[in-house]
Amino acid sequence: MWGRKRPSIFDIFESFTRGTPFEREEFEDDWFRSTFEDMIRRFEEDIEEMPEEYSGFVTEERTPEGVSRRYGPFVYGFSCTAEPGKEPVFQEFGNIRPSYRGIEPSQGREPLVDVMDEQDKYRIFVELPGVEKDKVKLDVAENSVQIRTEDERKFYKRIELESPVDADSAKASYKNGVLTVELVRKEQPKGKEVRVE
Amino acid sequence: MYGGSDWNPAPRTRKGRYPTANIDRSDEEWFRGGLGNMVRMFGSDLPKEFEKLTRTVQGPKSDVRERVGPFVYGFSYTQEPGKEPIFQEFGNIRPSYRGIEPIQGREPLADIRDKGDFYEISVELPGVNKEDIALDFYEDSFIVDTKGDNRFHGRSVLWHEVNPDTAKASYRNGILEITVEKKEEWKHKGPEGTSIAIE
Repeated sequence: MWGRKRPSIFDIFESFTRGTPFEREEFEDDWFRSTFEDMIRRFEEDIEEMPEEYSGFVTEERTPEGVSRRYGPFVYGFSCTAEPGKEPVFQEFGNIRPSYRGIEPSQGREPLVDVMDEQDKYRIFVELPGVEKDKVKLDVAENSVQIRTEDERKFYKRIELESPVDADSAKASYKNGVLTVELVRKEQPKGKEVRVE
Repeated sequence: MYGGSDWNPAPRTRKGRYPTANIDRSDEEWFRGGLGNMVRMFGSDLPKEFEKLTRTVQGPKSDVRERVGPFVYGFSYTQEPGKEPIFQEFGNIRPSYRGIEPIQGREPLADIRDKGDFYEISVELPGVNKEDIALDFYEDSFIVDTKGDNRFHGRSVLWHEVNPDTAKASYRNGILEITVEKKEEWKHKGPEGTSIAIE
């Protein structure tokens, strides 16, 4: 069944639907692990010239037997929000992404985001645990919001907004690892009603 | 109520492959088919466990809507030298052979680092006030439980036994940092136990 060469994250999820590794009598760990091991091997091939954004995944410790390396934690997840009459909204988060090579580290960990579409504004909650307030960089444009952290923990996320907002109205606060952003929706220009003669 | 085949979260997409097996990731059938089905069922019959995830919001056109979620699921994977890789799940739903099920409270993401004599543990609890965190330590595990809107609940098991009296914890910027000493017999032994000279 697992004849395909590179299982992706979604194969891992699918496997869970047949029971998580803990529920199962027989732990088919080979293919599951090999996905991560493939990625780790790619890290090791190039450990000297590893791009800086990946180095957060590797911790080196000197032991009497030599250097030992700890890899991870690699994190992947998704969230889902639903409103009646609309397609459910799915968002991914984490520091790895599925790719044609199996799994790849992403540039900066993607945070868990919740966008609330309210009467005259958007309220956006972004989980950035472990980041200092002054290391959070927030850019608001008319149709998008970009969040970046310049701390040890690097997060990155760009959120596209369905309707334009007034960037000057943006208010943001950060508490207990959660960034809250409030954006006032721009008033839609009213067209002039033309009477049909 | 929400078990059974209707809830099978992973119907096969065409050709029996998943969207990301292709490079084109715009195809989200996997998600839509599985979680989407689950979510649609909420309209008629919302499991009690999910009620806390429902919020009423006033939409752009002054319409009042029921918003459900966010449902969160994720996993982390850590590989340490000389050990079995550590696989942990987190979130407030769980895929299982019975379908997707809610769990009580959202399970937090925890990173457990073996430092030889002690463990260093980071638990992510974003949006929680310090006063609302309860941490209970046992010789082989610990339980984190929080109060408030954003409830977290989780238990993690440690590789070696520890001395619960030595546990120290602090909370800052959404992360609970814990250190705890191992029991004497496990100190200095490293991840692979004691190496015995063969005579």
